[in-house]
Amino acid sequence: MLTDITLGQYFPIDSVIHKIDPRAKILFTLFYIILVFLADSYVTYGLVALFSISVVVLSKIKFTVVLKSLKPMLFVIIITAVINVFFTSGTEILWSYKFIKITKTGVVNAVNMALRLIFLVVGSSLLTYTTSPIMLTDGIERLLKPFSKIGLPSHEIAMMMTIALRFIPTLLEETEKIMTAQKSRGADFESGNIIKRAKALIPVLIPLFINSFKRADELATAMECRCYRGGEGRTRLRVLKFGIIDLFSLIIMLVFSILMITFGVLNI
Amino acid sequence: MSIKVENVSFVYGKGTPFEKKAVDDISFCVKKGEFIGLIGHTGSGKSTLIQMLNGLIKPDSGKIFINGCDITADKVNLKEIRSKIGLVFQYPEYQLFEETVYKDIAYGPSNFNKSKEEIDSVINEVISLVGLDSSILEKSPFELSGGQKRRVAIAGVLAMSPDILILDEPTAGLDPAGRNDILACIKNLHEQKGMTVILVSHSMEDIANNVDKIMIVSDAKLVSFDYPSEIFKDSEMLKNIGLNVPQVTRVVNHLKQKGINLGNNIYTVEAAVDAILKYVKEES
Ligand SMILES: Nc1ncnc2c1ncn2[C@@H]1O[C@H](COP(=O)(O)OP(=O)(O)OP(=O)(O)O)[C@@H](O)[C@H]1O
Ligand SMILES: [Mg+2]
Repeated sequence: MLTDITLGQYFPIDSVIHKIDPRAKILFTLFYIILVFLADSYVTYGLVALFSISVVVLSKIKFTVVLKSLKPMLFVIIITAVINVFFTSGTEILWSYKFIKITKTGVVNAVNMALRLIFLVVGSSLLTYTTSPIMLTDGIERLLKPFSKIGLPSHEIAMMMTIALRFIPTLLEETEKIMTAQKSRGADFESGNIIKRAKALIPVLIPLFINSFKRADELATAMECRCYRGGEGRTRLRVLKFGIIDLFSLIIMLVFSILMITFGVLNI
Repeated sequence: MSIKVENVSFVYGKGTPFEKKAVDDISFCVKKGEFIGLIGHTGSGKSTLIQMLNGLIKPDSGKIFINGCDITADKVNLKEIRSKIGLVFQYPEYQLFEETVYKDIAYGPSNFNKSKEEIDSVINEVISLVGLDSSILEKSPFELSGGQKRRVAIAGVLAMSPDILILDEPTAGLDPAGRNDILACIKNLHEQKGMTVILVSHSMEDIANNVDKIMIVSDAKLVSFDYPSEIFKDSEMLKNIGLNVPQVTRVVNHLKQKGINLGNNIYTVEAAVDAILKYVKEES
């Protein structure tokens, strides 16, 4: 089912990871992504794995859920690995058949890329699993604030993201609803060639678009009725504060970064 | 066509933190030509249950037989089953998509490979059945009023000439006249064509006025499936699951407490009027 997609979904659980300030969490995730690219040895991959697994455990999100988030990316991961195996040149040839060669560098690169992608997906899905969309956009708005000096409409960007995120589940639900309704009128989405299948989607897409436009219109009217007029002078319900958990997570992040840099870059 | 449901259960979002049991071990039997009312509070699993009946949702466990054919088995021809079981969804106007009302109504029957002539005659029939004028056929479905859209959507399902008609709250959000029209049309289909009908509704009045038997679901379970006279005897049970007997029945019960006994089994306004007239005549 469409609504089974877990990527980008939020799981409301009570855990320390959930409580970290969203600004900090976004920055940590960016840092984590950079650090993952420093990994290239047993020790550094071990560190990344240890770090990621501990975060998953602390977040109280089930491992199966995390693994599921990899599913949509599996194809990309496999393709990347395959390309790396076959198209990397190197001196040490492990296996060759006519023009196909597998080199040691190729295999190492493939494993590297696959592992990095897996950790990236896990890390970034954890961000959305543990941060509610509202917190997430709040965090992004605050992080973008400095750029509003140079004309970046940070509040408007954040508001657009909030609305978009808010309506993803609604849209998925609605797609499924319209699909079932058309199926009961004899629509067939599963069989036939690609053109036939694309055509079968028309009865789903048209109502979906029309309803979305209508909803956007209604939402705009509703916001105007409640005197929404952009970010200027707007105060917020939840004021983000730097707390003790944030301090702890900062320390852990720093330790992790230092270890990664020492082992990864300096090769000690 | 008969429907037999055996111990079906269904859980939404299995294995996620949002797991929700929507249908829990429900069994029942509907005979050919019966008019069944399905009632239950919001979120009790009515929509889920009826979507199982034409194979849109596959139960996690249990079996469903339509005319003796097990539709939960692998490799059944669901398309054929769906052509025989017309399902009108909650707020069906969302499914309209074609340029004209005519084309939209024709979508169902043409999916089931009906010929052009057949479709033409069936459309003219159903459009008057749902109480619309045939001048509407060339209009765009998006420029109709809410009530007209609803009727067009219902006509779209009727056009498939189903043997069993299932309607999920067909009167929600309509004015009293529109409501009565649609209910009358359903009743008409049931009586004239002997169609088996399952009507989902929140309104005890709508149900009491029309159906042969009432099915009550509460918290994913089938609480009771019986004739209206039996169901409305037990107003305490109904209250416990957040429902109530029809308003007139409440009035009649109050009168009984005050010493005015109008008799039992009164759950439509017409029956109440008759009973009151009779009572007044006897008293004077
Ligand atoms: N697509 C879905 N995904 C997850 N949960 C769902 C889904 N559809 C329904 N549910 C849940 O299943 C339960 C039963 O829903 P269902 O739609 O069958 O109720 P209903 O009796 O038709 O309610 P209503 O009278 O409001 O239409 C509800 O608690 C609902 O939250
Ligand atoms: Mg429903």
